[in-house]
Amino acid sequence: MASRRHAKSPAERILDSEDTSLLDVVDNALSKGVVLSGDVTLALADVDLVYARLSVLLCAADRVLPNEDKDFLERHRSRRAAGRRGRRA
Amino acid sequence: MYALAQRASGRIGIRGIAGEPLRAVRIGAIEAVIGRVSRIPKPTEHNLRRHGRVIAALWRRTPALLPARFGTSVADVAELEAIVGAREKTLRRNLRSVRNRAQMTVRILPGSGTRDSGLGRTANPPSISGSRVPDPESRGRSYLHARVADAERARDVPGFAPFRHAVKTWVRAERVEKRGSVATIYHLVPRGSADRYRAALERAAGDAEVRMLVSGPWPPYAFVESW
Repeated sequence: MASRRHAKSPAERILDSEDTSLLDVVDNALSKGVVLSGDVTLALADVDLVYARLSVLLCAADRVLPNEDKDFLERHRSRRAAGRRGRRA
Repeated sequence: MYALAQRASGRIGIRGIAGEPLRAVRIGAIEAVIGRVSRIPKPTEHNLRRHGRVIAALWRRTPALLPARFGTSVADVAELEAIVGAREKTLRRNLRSVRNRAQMTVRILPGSGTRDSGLGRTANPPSISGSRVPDPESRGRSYLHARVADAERARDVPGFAPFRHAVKTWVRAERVEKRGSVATIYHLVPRGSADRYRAALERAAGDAEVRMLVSGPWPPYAFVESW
């Protein structure tokens, strides 16, 4: 009896492909490695008021945005709405 | 910036993603390998692969190297010196930990008995943990115990323990990431041991029902310490 083939998940489709080396390239280059950060102290009248740690970070978005899927769509909608309002003004 | 190294050994003779000549900037006991570009290259497949080749070429020339993430940049050398100089002690320790070592990457595939294991999405490795907000009422020892338990749960990959045992001879450090149905284990192993490591994994796989992809040796991307 022939067995039904189960539908592959997105992960299976990617990992079963011939070019899994691209997966490693993307993983290594975009979500690993040294990230430079700078520290800034904002002062007023020689009094240190605010310490800010700045990070220049390029990576896969869901590494820093845990609710990326939901947040991304909300931000996208907000941006579009703001754009429409701007055009109307 | 492409990488930080203990010593980039003189003239580099390698070109960067945009064809720019690379040079080493000495900052204390560390050398930063940089290239000057007019704009950050886009993260296309072509550029990412080229970035990987540049990093690999640099890694082959020096015993200890920390790859930089794609697109890592600064406005000028003075900014680079300020940032790297402020972290020199941490970076030197990190460089010592990856000296003469390579990264092997093992991906446990769906259908390996892990589908219903509830891998889910976990936080980054314990050193960058952000998975739980500690209970403000839980202090001292109980808090630390909870963090240790979190770290152990983050490392746990159902079915992988026998394979971890099979390669323990070569593993100097490990990082685990779990996303959805795929678990990724990064192992730091001595350079030159990749073939033996891979053979040991394949022997352990045998008739086991675990499906895995092994790649490497790579430069130690996953073993850069967070600051």
